[in-house]
Amino acid sequence: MNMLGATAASRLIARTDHLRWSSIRRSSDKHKEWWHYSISRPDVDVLVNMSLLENSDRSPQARITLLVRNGAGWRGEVRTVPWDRVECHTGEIAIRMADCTTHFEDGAYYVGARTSDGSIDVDFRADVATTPSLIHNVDLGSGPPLHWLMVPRLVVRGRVCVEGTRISLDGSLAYHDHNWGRFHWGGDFAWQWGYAAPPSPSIPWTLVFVRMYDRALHRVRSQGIFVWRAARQTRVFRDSAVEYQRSGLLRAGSVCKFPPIMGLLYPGTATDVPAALTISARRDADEVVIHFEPEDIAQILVPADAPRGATLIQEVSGTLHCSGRIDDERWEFTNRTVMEFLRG
Amino acid sequence: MADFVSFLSASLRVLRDECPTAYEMLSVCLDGVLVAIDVDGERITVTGERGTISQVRGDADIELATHRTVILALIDGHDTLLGSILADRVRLRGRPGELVRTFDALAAYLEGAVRSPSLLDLLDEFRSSHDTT
Repeated sequence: MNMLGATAASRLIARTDHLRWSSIRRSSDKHKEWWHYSISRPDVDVLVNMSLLENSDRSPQARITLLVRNGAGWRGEVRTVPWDRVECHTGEIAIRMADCTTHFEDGAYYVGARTSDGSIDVDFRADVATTPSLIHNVDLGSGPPLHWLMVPRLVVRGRVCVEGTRISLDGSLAYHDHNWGRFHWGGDFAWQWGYAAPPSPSIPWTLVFVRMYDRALHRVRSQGIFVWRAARQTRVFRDSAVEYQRSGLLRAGSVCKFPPIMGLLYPGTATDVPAALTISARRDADEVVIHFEPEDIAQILVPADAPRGATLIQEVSGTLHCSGRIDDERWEFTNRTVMEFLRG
Repeated sequence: MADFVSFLSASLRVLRDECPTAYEMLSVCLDGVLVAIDVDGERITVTGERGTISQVRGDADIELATHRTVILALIDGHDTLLGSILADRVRLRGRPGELVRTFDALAAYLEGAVRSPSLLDLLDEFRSSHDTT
């Protein structure tokens, strides 16, 4: 992205990606907010998520998710951080949770995170390569909506260490988003979303796709595919222009559950992740096709805001093939990605 | 805190304070059922009574015996409850109806535990006391 584009994107992010969490107001409105980073490569997937939420007694809670997928499958940690080890301020793009940090400065996000036992350690800088996209009022059924800011393409410099093995992340493409809202885990909603980034920064196309459902997955509330060429969002396909086709069910030999204690409440390897998923969209002469083949599942189980139950967040690593024609330009690429299947 | 009985007692107090709905459900599940829990030879018998979990004496309806290492393995996801029962790492004895209520009680306890921030600290203490003994 050229200097002018980088400056404009940086200004937009500074105005939109700031923390909404209020340290002054404490209410029972169940405010939730998180910053999410995802990097996918043939040899490793890295997920970093830093979340703020309210407990049932209205006290604040901070949670770090650091997951890595390599040849040995998913590993990592979802842990709660004591509030006295959290530093965050409304309106800033910066947060510290124990020894894990993220902030935005001069057109780049900086992320440092490690598991409590030190077995996984990641540090990277991610330079913004697209303009952000902000979507307000994502329908979650009855109750307040979700808000979603995405920066779908960033160029990474850094490394991840997994049990003593160092992997360079230099030149990888990353995805970042920031979600916030006042809603209840366990509510009447589900979503499936993912992103398609090419294996090389020389390929200018990036896509994000999403489908919102009711909790039972009976009714589709909204769906869309968002397309960027280089820095700019160039197409949005919505609703009836988008088709989903699932086939089969992924029969995972094992499913990693995070945190592990939730496996006592929700054991087993049953999953509703399909064996293959094809998402296509067409409008006028433009079209895109995304084909995803899941492989490994990490299940994050978040206690519902009700006295019982859990929200199931399935982070699914797999191979993605993406092709399209936009403004008479044809393109295709294959890469790995992590797609999220969530049921509220 | 070095022993399981202290950990369990403290965890029930935390549950009562931080997740009263789960504590009440636990008491309902164990209403009139005496459950004897033996961990590495430490023994405690509890029952539900008028919305409270009480430590009692008497002949137990349910006998549960295991080891601290098994409890930690279950919490850390290195073992499953079904697998540990089938392999006799967790030994259970009782009538079917009361066994079902005991499992419901365990589910209520766990649902409350994962919603009680202070219980994580207790668990860390229980774990580190195991590491040093």
